[in-house]
Amino acid sequence: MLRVSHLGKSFADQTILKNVSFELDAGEIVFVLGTSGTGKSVLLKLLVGLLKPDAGEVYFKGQELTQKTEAEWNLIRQKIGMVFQQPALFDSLNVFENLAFGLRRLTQLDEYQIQKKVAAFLELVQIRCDLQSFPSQLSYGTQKRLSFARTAILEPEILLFDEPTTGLDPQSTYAINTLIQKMSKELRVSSIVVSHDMECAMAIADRIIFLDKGEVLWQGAKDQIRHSGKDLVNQFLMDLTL
Amino acid sequence: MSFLTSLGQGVIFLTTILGYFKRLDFSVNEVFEQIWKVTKESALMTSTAGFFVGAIMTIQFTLQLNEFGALGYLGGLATSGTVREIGPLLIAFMLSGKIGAYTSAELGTMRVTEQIDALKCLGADPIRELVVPRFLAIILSSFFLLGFGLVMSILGGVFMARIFGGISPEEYFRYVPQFVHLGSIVLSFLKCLLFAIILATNCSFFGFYASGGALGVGRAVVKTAVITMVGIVIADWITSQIADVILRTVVQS
Repeated sequence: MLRVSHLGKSFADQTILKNVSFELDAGEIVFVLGTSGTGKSVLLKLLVGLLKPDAGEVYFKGQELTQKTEAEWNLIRQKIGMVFQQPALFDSLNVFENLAFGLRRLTQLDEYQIQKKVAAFLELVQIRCDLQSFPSQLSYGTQKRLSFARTAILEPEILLFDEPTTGLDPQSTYAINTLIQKMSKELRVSSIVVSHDMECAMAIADRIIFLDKGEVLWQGAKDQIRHSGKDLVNQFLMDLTL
Repeated sequence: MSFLTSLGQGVIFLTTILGYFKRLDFSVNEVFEQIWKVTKESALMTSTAGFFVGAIMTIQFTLQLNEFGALGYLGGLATSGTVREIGPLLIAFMLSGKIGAYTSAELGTMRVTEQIDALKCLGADPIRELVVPRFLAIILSSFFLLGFGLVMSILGGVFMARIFGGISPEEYFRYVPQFVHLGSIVLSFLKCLLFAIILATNCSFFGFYASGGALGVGRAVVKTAVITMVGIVIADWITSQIADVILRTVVQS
């Protein structure tokens, strides 16, 4: 479904990503792990067109994406959604308007259909709050789940998650992980999850990619990770067993 | 980032915004909403400051004109100084301190909390949705506020002339037409337009491209305030010089 080939990105003299290649199949959950500052978030922004790569290609269903115009990206972003590290809800819009925002711009749904869809996705993320309330009135965990719903409501084929469980309590972390799995199993949505959280990766990932200094250090199926033979990977695994 | 790089990026940013105006590609409702917000937020502050600036100008002129027995020219001189120079400068500084800082912080916060990226991912153009309405609102509001501020500063001058110099409103306004021409008023509004463009460009540019969390937003606000004020003073000097040349040419011809 998605093929990333020899992707590279630099800012000024600093190389952030170098020669990154991997593939993502339909319904697959891939975790991208690595230490801070190793280019994980930049990778996601390249995949959704928020940044332009210096080298390499990204293919979505055979279509090359890196040379697309902003207008073309608007169509692609209906298929590839991104959930940001911070909730990134629009402060000046209430809960309903935040969820309806993308539907109004990217779909032909009428107001009744939008209302129905918003209600359905609030149910999916298990949020029962006043639709007129503003993001600042909600807890961080609720904001994160709303952010998830705002992206998922467009029913993309690929979801990109940037540190989805950072700063969340165990209960909210479990809820987010369950949602990612549910989307994958029931709706065949593929997910790329950027995270530090080895525990989450071992719980829900199908495959894991380890980035180190902007390069792929190791990638493979989750159950092969203990045989990676890479020190950094073993360190992450040790943290898990402690 | 070097000064020249920033300047170049600022010019490209301004050109991009002007492209939206050329194509009429913006939401009129959003523009009106922003105009109302800027005007409502700044009207009281501008009028209060305007009133006292007019009063201060009158006190200063009264002391000096009194020495030469030329107190009759007080209204003309004070009004001329206010309309040609102090009015536009005052409005621009007021807007810079309040709306400029607010806009820069608002856009900067949206940038560092990834709201601008989220807008893009949800099919919206952040420059069209966020920058263009604020830019236009600052420019249009500054005209209302200039008009309002000038009236208040003249009232402040009249009030203080009465209290401080014992001059009646009729006496105060007697020589105003000799000092304040249509050209002075046009110059005043042209300066206001130029200052508003400098302010709107700076606050939206530094806010929109803020980076580095809360610290980055703080830096954006400081840059907006400093560069806008320096830019306004330099632009004031240039426009005053140009206006002087034009005035001399007109008088000679």
